[in-house]
Amino acid sequence: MVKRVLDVRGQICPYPLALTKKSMMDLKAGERLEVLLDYVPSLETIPRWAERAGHRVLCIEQRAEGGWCILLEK
Amino acid sequence: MTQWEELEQHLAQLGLDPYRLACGCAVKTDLRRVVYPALQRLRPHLTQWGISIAPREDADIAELYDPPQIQRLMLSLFRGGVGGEVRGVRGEGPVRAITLTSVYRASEPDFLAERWLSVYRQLAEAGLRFVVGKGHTIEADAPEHQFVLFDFFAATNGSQPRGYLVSNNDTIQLIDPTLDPGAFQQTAVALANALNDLFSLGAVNNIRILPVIAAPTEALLRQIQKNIRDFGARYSFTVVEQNPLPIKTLLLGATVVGQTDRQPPVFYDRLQPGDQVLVHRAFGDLAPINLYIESLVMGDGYLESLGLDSREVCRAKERVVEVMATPNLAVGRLIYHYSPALGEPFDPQRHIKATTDLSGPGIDVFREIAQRAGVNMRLERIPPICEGLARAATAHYILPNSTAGTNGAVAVIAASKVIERFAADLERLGYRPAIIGSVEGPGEGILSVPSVARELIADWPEGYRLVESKSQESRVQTPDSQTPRQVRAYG
Repeated sequence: MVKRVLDVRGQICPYPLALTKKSMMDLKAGERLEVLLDYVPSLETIPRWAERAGHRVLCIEQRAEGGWCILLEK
Repeated sequence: MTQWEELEQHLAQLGLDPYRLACGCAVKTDLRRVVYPALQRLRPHLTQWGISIAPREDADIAELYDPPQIQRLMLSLFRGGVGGEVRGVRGEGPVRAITLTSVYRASEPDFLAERWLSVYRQLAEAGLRFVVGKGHTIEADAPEHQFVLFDFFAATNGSQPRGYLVSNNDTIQLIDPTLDPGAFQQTAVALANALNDLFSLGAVNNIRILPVIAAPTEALLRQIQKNIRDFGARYSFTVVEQNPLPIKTLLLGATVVGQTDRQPPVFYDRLQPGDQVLVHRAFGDLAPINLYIESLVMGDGYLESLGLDSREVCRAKERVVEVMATPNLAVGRLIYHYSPALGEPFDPQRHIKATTDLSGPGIDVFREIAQRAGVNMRLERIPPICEGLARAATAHYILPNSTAGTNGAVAVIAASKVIERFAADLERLGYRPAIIGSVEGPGEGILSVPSVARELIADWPEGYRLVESKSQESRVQTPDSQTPRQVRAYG
């Protein structure tokens, strides 16, 4: 299973979502993207956009070292 | 190299990271989820220490003592502690404070409340007692750039109130990352945005600007300082020079102070069914900018894939920056003239009842007014400055609220005859005002909005009621619509 990682920690809207969109464009169907982030509003916009765009939101989890991880599948 | 890569490189040479800098009022920490709950937690402690928080208004309104002494204090919040000393802020004793908090990743109210508690405890231990007149909280771009800044206003002995002192702080990082950080428009938008809350209260006299700025290089700092002087000279505002903040990031803003010898329009208890809501221009200024930025990040063809014309979006972006860079001083002067003189009884047939501006929260400001006044309000139409772009920005989650702006449209609530005269005066000044709604009657602060609001607000708040409205059908479909006139509905 191909899984890419996008680290947008430290970034503020609209960049985490924009870079997520761009990264998803480069994936093939079935491939996954792990988005690492620490800006809370993006926890709402990225999953909402992903579902609307037809991607699967596999999980959203808080990380022990701080921040969150959103796992998307194209 | 793409345009975005060139931009990244240019900003990196200045010591800035565009991905960490918010555009305009997007820098504000979430008011409903974070700031207001944190204030609730802070309030009992402050009361115990003899510090209080003024009721929420767009700006601090205090009885005027002439001339107030203003003293600035900045405390660092880096590494969980409070850095800096409280000294030199005694004199006659500070009576009011305007504050700016810069905090990194304050996603929980407790996180912010704890930091505020540590700061206010230090002030209380130093013997300071004061009223927090207005506070502004923004996202820091890095942990080492966290601080709380206080501008204390001290009374002068023996002076008598002769009106009102209206004060505010608004500080942003930048408005348009595609413009050079030293461009005049960047500074002008930031200052006009801070002043807007004064003008919406009719405080247009003796305007003073106390800059709140930071820049990573000396050259950029000097350019921003020149921009501020030029802005002050252009509009005859007094610039009271302040030391730049000792942090290597970009901050553009000011504490601003104005005076009025009339009663500011905060007559919320006078709102009655049938009173009308007017905006002096269309709003939703941030949509074109954010769409344009996303298009640069995404690359060529992105806007076209959304059915938009990239040249039109660029032109719309340039237009809204110009609009935002122009202070709403003439609107403020008009509000002043529609406000009662000191001691004069309020006359609903001559005076404005309430005002606000549609900056950070967009149309949510009407829900705040409705809740404060104990009424329900209804918006019949929502005229975005570029409707097609606002819809696209919402549909693609680029903006949570495409009705938001910076130095946003000024809204006025008054009896219909007053609104009619006010609108005619605005048109004589060259504006294109629109009546967008009305007061329904006593209630719990519910805001009824037309169904088009669903297409303009992705982050849907509680307390909104959707209503059908035929009038929105007159909206303009092209992305570069600038014509609130087409949704105007007088009488």
